[in-house]
Amino acid sequence: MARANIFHTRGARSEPWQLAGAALLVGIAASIVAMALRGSVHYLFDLSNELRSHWWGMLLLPAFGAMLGVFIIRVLFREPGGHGVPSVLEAVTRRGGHMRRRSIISRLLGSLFNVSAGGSAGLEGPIVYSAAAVGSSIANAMRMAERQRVLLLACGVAGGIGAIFNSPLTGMIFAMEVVLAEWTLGALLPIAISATVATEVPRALSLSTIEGPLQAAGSYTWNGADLLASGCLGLLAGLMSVALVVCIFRAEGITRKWKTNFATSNLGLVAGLAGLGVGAIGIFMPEAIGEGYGTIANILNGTTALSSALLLLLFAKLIATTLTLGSNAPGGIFAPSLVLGAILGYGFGGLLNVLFPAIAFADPSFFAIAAMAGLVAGSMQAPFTGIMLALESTGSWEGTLPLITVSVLSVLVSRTFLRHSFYTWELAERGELMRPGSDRRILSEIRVAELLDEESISITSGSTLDDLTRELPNTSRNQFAVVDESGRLLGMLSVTSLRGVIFDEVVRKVTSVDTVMDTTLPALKGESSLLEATDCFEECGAWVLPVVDADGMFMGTLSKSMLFDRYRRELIVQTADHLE
Amino acid sequence: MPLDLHQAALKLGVSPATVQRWARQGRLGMVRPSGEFLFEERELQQWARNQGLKIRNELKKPQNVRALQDKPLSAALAKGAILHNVAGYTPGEVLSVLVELSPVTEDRNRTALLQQLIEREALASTALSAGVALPHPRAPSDAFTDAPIVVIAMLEQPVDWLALDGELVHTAILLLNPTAHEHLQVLSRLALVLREQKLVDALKARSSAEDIFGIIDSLEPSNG
Repeated sequence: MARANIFHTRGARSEPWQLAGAALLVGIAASIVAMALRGSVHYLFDLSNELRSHWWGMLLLPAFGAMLGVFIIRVLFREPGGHGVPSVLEAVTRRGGHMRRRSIISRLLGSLFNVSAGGSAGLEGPIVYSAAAVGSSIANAMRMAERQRVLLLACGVAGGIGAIFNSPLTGMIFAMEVVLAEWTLGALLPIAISATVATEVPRALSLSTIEGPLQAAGSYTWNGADLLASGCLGLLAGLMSVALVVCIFRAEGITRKWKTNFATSNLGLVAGLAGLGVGAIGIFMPEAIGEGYGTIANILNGTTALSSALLLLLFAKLIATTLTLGSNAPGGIFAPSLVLGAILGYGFGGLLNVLFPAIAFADPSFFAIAAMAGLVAGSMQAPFTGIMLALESTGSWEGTLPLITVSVLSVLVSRTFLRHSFYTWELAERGELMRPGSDRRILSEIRVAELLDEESISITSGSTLDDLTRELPNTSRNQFAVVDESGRLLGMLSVTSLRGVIFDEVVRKVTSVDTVMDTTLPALKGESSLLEATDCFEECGAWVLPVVDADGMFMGTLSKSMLFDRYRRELIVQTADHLE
Repeated sequence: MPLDLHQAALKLGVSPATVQRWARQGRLGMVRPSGEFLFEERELQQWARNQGLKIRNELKKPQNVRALQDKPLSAALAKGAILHNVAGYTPGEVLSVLVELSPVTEDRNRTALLQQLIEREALASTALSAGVALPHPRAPSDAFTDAPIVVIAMLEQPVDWLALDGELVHTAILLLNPTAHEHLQVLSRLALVLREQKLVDALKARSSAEDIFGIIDSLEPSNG
């Protein structure tokens, strides 16, 4: 009996180490990106505090920041607006992890001005975008293949989130749950390395992260009643997430309409108008605008008063976020979700104490943390990310069970109403959300030209059926292409349709292939994907279709049987994890 | 109206057994595997859309929508004509007379038709053996006719049609078809009946139109 082969071949041994080394680099770079943005936002925010003390400064600053942000992204860098995570997902699913190098700074600069001026949005989306571009660029510099590039892009994302929240596990989970949508060992290892390194860099440099504001005041104790209450809170958090996502999408729709109606290709005007609205809210409720981590800090350390004003604040924050993100001003949904969650949970906890004074519920700030998890989970439809973010960033590990309860119920509610998450909506609507191993993904990656039948035979226009029968012994195929002298496709001939005439020698000699060819069959383009080819087969009901190049020259034929055969091979290769 | 299992299978383009398996595996969320297979059409469409499946609204009709003729050749001949004493000393002259006498959809197309017939002859002679030629346009087209037409023309005098066997042509049979499919159908029937000496003899003997039609009709097998 042969000895069992328990060792990898040499090539397979070195690849994970190369990736690990690259992931280390990506982690450091992503961390630097995240720290630079956070530091500059705080610096600019403090700098502009003087202006904010006047009512006109409060009103105009967000508008100015939003317009500047949109101008930077759309005019200077010529990139689509918004928070950028859909572009990251698109890079993963459609472009082999390719992102432009300028994407490293475009959204950072844009969101820097928008958020520090008071726009109700987070920096995490832009950091995810930027760190993803860092990973992609490092992979490009190291001349890595597409799959490895996608992994390094995810490493960047994990590093960025890890660094900004001081939470390596959240970074890992977000990268796998939301960005890659796959859980394989081969992906986990480099992502873990990047997240770890990225989280350690700011600590080693003793830079403050947001560990401060999100850190819980102390440890909590909870009992069965709290768990039951968490169930209710989960449903509320789910509804709130749905409201947030729907409001932003409705607002985006209005923004698009304004853009076309008033022919302002520069979205800065709309964002500026929306920014005025944000500023107006800020005059009356400064806690509702900006990134909002100060608001969370006040809730977690219990300095925010438990009153009905919380309900007002909740709506103000929702509207401010809708205005900022719905007008395509640069910024992310992470921070607003956390702030909305904190307000919702805090108010919920306070209400519990009023409604059931006899029951000793946990501190309202504990519910605030649970609802933070719920809002993130619900709006991203990513329960694991929500749970881990709330646990790691607040350090409230004792609250695992209520947090899971809230997150899971929130996602359940969100999925009841929404077919896609905040991040995947845009791609899914365009039909471009193609998750690894899915049918559309596999079909879209294979080009028709890869599957050409080499044995396919063409016959020149003007030939007779007699000429065709002389070709028959040389091939096992039943379909022939009729081409002109230059090789341009004119039509198709199927031997089976010639049954009635092909055995009569005289008729064969007087019948030209042009007369009996089928010109109604559509021709596939060699550059098309199999996705288009399968649609074409389905529509015309044919078994074999001709394939032409961009100039209409005949390249070969594609048969359904070949398609199925190759599809299966591709499925085997694509669903196997090479890096495991 | 709710769809039953077979209708749903037809819509989804799979067999009823597949629909049953999907229900059993819980993939078709809206039916209980234990219950009756009744589908709301709207729900089924929504489900298919979520899965990325295409719904077939009606079964794809075959390309040729025209009803299948019981005897395609006889039918085409009935639409056409059987002519005697068609004049001309060359194929070109014969063809121009033939085109004038043919029931083409619109008169203005006659010039184009004649040109196509002459082009086809230039490519290679359409003369068969035994003195019969089969002129036809190079490509079938609905510009000339919307249903197959066959015109049999017995010539005034034998014409040199550049036949492979060197024989002079005594009968030209014009074929006009809207599609390649119909051309093949009529041509195969024609090849079949022309193998019968009885028909060739009748053509050579300039038999009456009724006789020739009768012979062809009796020789052509019925599709039914």
